[in-house]
Amino acid sequence: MRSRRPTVREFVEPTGTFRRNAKRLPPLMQEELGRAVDELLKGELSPGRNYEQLTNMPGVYSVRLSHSYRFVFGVTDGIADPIAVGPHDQAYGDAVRRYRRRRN
Amino acid sequence: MLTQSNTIRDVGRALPALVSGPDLDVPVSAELLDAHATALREQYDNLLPVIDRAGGALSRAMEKHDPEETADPEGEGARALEHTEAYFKHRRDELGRLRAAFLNVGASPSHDVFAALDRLDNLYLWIVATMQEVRWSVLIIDGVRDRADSPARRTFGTSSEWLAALDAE
Repeated sequence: MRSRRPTVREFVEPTGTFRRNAKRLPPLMQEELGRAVDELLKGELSPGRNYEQLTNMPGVYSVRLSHSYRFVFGVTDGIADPIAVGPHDQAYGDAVRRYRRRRN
Repeated sequence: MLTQSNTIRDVGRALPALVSGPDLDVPVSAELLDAHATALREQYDNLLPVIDRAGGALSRAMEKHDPEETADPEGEGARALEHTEAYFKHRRDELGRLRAAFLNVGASPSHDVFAALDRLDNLYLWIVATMQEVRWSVLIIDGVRDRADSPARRTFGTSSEWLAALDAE
């Protein structure tokens, strides 16, 4: 069963690794990252953000910046902590999931 | 030591270099469809063991990885894997053009060349999907580790404050 999506009240200052990844984003995706953080803090996510917990990773969530980019963060007691951001093509993620379903 | 992170970086870098040909820009003709099918099958047969070994090396590196260590000290591993993904996506685009060219010269949809092309395309798809998954594992491992190493950080209630902190050196 998928866990509830926690409310986010605050975001923690990014770490060096996260900054490095964020600076490699195209300018449009950097803007989208700011927009996603804003939406998470306001509790008003745009359609298609797909806010969800990562499989087998309690407390770790992701939202989509676009079809091809995602943002991963941890949430504890309403405090979100950025973990990673970068290219992630949904179609290829789906391909892995389909393959695993066929094997199981 | 950083053996595991070096493996991740090196495999990511090596894969595109190991994959050569067939030259997908060769002129397509109806008379040569059997030859095209053979070339595509050979490409698949040559690539599969390389991919299998590379996948095994990455899998072992991820299993042996010490969570106390960074999986990607300079971000080179993630960059290498990202380039590999882009390379094989490009190869898939080329296969798509090749498929259209076969149809344009009148190849029957039941010709072997399409089965060979589909098999190679599926392998490329699998490579991209696997590299993407490994790259995200690396990003998350290092992101979580970095978070644990930096416990005392400020928090922000607005996106503008948070973005200012992101831009700060």
